[in-house]
Amino acid sequence: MPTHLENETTLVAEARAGSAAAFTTLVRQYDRNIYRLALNITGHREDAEDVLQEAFLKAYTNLDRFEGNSRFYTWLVRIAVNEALMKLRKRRSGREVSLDEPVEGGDNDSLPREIEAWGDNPEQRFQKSELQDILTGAVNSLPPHFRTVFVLRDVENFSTEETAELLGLSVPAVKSRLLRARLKLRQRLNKYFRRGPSLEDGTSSGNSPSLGNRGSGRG
Amino acid sequence: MALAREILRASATEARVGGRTLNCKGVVRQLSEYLNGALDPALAEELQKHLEHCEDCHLVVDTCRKTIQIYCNTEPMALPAGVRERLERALAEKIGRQGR
Repeated sequence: MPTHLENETTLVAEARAGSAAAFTTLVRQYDRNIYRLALNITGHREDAEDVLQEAFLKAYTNLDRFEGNSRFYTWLVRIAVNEALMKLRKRRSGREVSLDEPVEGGDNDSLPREIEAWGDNPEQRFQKSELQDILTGAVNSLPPHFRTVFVLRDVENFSTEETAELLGLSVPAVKSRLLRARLKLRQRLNKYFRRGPSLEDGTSSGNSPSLGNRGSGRG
Repeated sequence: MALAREILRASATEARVGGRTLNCKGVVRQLSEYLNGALDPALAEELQKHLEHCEDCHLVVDTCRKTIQIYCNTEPMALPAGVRERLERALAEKIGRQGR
């Protein structure tokens, strides 16, 4: 989450007083976060750009209504999440997907698959843009009601309570969805991050060979 | 799945033998709260004991922890070309029309 909290308060006050420059500074401070949030929720670059624009335009229009009870960034995220969810619903209008569908029960009790060791900092094997594509692709493979929770909690680092409030969900619902999302992502990312014999840099040398194939027999 | 069931049964037996009640399914259910550091201390201790003797659960917890760390430590990329320019143009139009 972006820092510069004092800076944020000052900039918001100046923007409310009419400073377009102050608002532009806020935009530049947060636009990458809001774009990533929108891309992670919608899964479409065009939609993400629309959400980015709509969120900042609405924030500017409604700046007088921002009461300062929360951080400006949290308020901005709330606007962006609502815009992103609307985009998502439009895309899925023919498929009747509810973001509020109950997810408790179901395969909550199934055991994880793809159980293999990853080694330390497995993400460092990838270039930045490649890693970003892998991470975004994995999040987009989650059902919407899981990925919205995961994105707010584990990508944007809001607390469980804040995530519940932002999405209008109960805390237990957030916890349940977060658990499922984390387990699914772990499983999806395993093929990229597992420590395997194919690595040429020798980082697998400390690994027991038997662990390399643990996942193949599960499931 | 047969192997998974077998492993689960073996772990559950082992847990009972050791006087513990938390089996693999229990670990998975508590995993998220454990990684959040929000688990009841007694339960967290029980979970840690399970991890000491169950390699599968140890790996699941470790890779889940790394999954979360990778996401939360990854800074957002620069915006794709043209996105910031179009955003600022749209804002400039809005500000020009509306003012404050």
